[in-house]
Amino acid sequence: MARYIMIALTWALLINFSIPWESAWGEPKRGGTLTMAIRKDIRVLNPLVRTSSTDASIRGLMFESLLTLDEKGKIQPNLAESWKISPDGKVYTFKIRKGVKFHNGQEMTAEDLKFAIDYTLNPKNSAYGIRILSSVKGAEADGKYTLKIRLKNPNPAFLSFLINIRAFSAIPKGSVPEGVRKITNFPPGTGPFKFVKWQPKQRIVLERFDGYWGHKPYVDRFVMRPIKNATVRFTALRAGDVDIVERTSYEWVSQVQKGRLKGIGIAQALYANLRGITFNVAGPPFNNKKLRRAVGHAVNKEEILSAAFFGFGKVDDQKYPKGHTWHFEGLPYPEYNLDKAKALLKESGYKGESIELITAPGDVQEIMATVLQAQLKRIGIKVHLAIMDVAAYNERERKGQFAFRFRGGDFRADPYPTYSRHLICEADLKRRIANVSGYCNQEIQKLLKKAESELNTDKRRELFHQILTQMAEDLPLLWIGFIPRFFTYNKNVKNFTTDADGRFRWSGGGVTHTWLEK
Amino acid sequence: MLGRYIIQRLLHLIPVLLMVTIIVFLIVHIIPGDPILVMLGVDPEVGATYTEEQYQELQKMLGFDKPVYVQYFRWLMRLLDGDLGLSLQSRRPVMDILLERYPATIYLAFMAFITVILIALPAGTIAAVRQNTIVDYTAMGYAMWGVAIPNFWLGLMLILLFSLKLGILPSIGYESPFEYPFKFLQHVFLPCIVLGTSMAASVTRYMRAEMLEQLHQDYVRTARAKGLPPRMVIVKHAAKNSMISIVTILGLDIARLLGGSTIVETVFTWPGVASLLLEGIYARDYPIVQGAVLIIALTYVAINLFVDITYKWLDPRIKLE
Repeated sequence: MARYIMIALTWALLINFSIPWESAWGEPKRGGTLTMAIRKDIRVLNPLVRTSSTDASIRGLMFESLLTLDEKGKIQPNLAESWKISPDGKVYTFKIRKGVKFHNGQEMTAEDLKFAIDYTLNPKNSAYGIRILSSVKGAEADGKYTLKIRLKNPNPAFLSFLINIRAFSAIPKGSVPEGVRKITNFPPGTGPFKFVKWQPKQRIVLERFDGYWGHKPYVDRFVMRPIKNATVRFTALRAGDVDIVERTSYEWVSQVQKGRLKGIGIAQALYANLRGITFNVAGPPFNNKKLRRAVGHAVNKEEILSAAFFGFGKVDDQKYPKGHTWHFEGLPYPEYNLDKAKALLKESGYKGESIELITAPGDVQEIMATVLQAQLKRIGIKVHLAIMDVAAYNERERKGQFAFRFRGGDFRADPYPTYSRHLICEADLKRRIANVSGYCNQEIQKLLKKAESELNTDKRRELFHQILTQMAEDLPLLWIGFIPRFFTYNKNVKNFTTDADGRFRWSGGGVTHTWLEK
Repeated sequence: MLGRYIIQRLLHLIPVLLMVTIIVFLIVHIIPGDPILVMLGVDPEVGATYTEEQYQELQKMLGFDKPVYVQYFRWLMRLLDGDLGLSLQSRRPVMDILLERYPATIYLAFMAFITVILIALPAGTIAAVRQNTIVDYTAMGYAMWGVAIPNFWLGLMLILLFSLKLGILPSIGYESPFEYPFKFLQHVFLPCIVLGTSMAASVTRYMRAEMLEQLHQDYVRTARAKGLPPRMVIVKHAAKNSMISIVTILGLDIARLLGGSTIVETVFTWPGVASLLLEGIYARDYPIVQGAVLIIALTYVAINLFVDITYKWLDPRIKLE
C-alpha cells in the first residue's frame, strides 16, 4: 500500500494549487447553457483515440475511467468499486460498480470494459492507450460485475494508469468498429454529460446526463466553441459570446491580474506544461557531452520564462516540481554559469559551426527559441532557427533529423512512465517514437528494468535517484520549467475550478460543479 | 450556339482540373511532414504514445507505403466513382466535410461580393464623374486605405467596436441563412465588411479609371450632344461599357474570396473551405487538401465561364467561340 500513499501524496501537492478566485460563491443554481471557447476542435469521434491534451478534457466529460483520484490525490474507486491484487502482482481483479448506466440507458458491465481494453490493445485501431497498457497481457469478464486484468509482469504503477481516460474508458461492447473507419457519433459513455451534436469548427454540444451515477452537473448544456487564435478567444469572452476561455494568452492574464480588465475571473492549472530542450545525442554536434553541458551552463531559464510567458513559469530541472515526492534535490544538472560554459565549449572542440534549433510555430515557441539563440551567442555558439509546422516537426523528430529542439512534456502519477519514455533505447534511430533524443545508456536500462517491477517504495526511490543522477550527468534533456495555463471566465460563471493539468472536469470540480448566475 | 460553347468549355475543364490535382498532389507529398504522426495524435506539447506496430499498420492501411504515383491513381480512380476518400484526421468522408464547409464559404463570398458592388461601382463612378473634386479625393483616399489595411487588424477593430463597445453584433461564429436568417445576417456582417472593404477598394480604382476612359470617348460626347440626360449618359452608356473589364476583375476577385479568405475565417471563426484547406495542409491531411483545392478550382472555372458569358450580354459584338 505504501506505493499508493506515495502517489496520493504527490497528487495532493498538485491538485491543491487550483483555488477559485472567489471563495464565497453562494448557493448553486440549476440550468442554463455554459459556453467555453476551446483551442482545438475535436477530430475523431472515438473516445479511445486521441485522448491527450484538449481532446482528453472534452472526452473526460462524457467518458470515464475505472479509477480516479480524490482531492487529496488518493486513488479512489470510480467505475470500479474495489480491487484486489493477486500475491504475485500479476492479476488485478476489479469489482465493477452496479447500476452505472450508459447514455443510451444500457447498464455497464465487465464485458464492456473488456471490450474497451481489447480494442485499445489492437494496433489496428490506433488507440492512444496502447502504450500505456503495454504491460497488460489481457482482460476477462468474470460474470457481470467482475473484471480481471492480467499483466505480463508485476507493475507497481499499474493502478495509476487507470486513474484517467488516457488508457481507456468505458463504452458499450461493439459500439466502435475495428480499424480506422468512419465513426459518425461518439458512442454512449457513462460520464456526467452526454454527446448531443458536433458542428465541425463551430460547436460541440453536450447535455447533462440525468441518469449519471455521481455528481450531476448544475448546467443543462455545455457548449464548446473551437477558436484557434488566443486573442480572438479572449475577445469572444469580453464580448460575452462565451462564458469561459481555455488557454488564455499570458498577456491577457497579466492584464487581468494587474486589474486593467475588470469582471474577469482566473482559474490556474499550475503544472499544465513542462518545457525543455532535447538534444539529439545520437548524432553530431550534440553527441558531444561537453557541448551539451556547455549549453546547459549557458541557458538562463528565468530569462526564457520571463520573455515567453510574462514571468508566469516556474524554473525547474526535473519532470516533477520542487516539493513533489519524485523530485530529487542535488542532481548534477548544469547551473547557469557563463565561465563554466565557455570553458566546456573550448574543451568540446566546437569550431563555430552553425547549429539548427527546430521549433514548432507560435508566439511562445518562437520567443523561447529566439531567446535561447541569443543566450548561446553569448558564449559563441551560432544557432539558426528552423520554425516548422507540427507535421514537419514530428517527422524530423521521428527520423532524428535535428540537432536540438524545444518540446513540451507532462508527468504522470508514477515516475516510471514519466521518465522511461526518454530513457528506453529506441530500436531504430531512424524511427524514434518516444525517446526522441536517441539517448541509450545500458546502465540506465538495467536500473529501469528493476524499477519497473520493484514493489518497495524506498528501493524504487533509490533506483530512480541513480537513474536521474546519470541522466542529469549525460544531459540528453535539459528541462527549463513548468508553465501554467489559465482559464478566464466572466462574472456570471460561478465555482469553476481546474486541476494542475488544466482539465475541464476533475475530482474536485470543473464544469460539472459550475453554475451560472443569471 | 451558347449551349455548344458551354459544352466546349466544360470539356476544356477536364485537363485543367487534372493538372491542378496532379500539381497539388505532388506538392503536398513533397513538403516534409508525416500525416500518420498527426493522425496518431503526436502533439509537440505532450509527446508520442504510439507503437511502431500501430504506425506500420496505419501506413499500410492508408497506402502510404506505395509510391506517390500509385497513391495518386488510387485517389483518381476513387474520384471517378465520386468518392473523395476519408479525411486522415477525422476519418470522415471528405465529401461530407466539404458539403459542411462549402456553403459557409459561398454565403460569405456572395455577401462580400454584394458589398463590393454596392461600394465600388457607385464610388468609382462618382469619383470619375466628379474628377479632381473632394468627392474624388475621398473615394481615392478610401481606395488607398482599403488596400493598405490588413484584414486581421480591421477584423479585430470591428469586433472591438461592434461586439465589445456597442455590443450589437456577435464577435464569432456562423449560422445557416436558411435556419436562422437574422442570426446569419448578424454573423456575416463584420466578416463581409472586412472582406468587402479591401476588395471594393481596388475595384473602385479600376472603376474610376475605366469610367474616365469611357467618359472621354466619342460616343459619350455624341450622347451628350444629342441632349440625353447626364444620368442616362453615365449609367446606360459609360458605366455599361466600363463593366466589361470590371466584370473580369470581379470574376477574379470572387475566386480570391473563395480561397483567400483564410484570415477572415480565422478572426471570425467562420467555418469555410479556406480555413479547411489550411488545416488540411498543416495536418498533411492529403484527401482534405485535394478535395478542397478541387472544389475551389471547380468554382473558379465555373465563375470564369459565367464571366465569359456575361461579356456577350454586356457587348453583343463579342462572339463566344
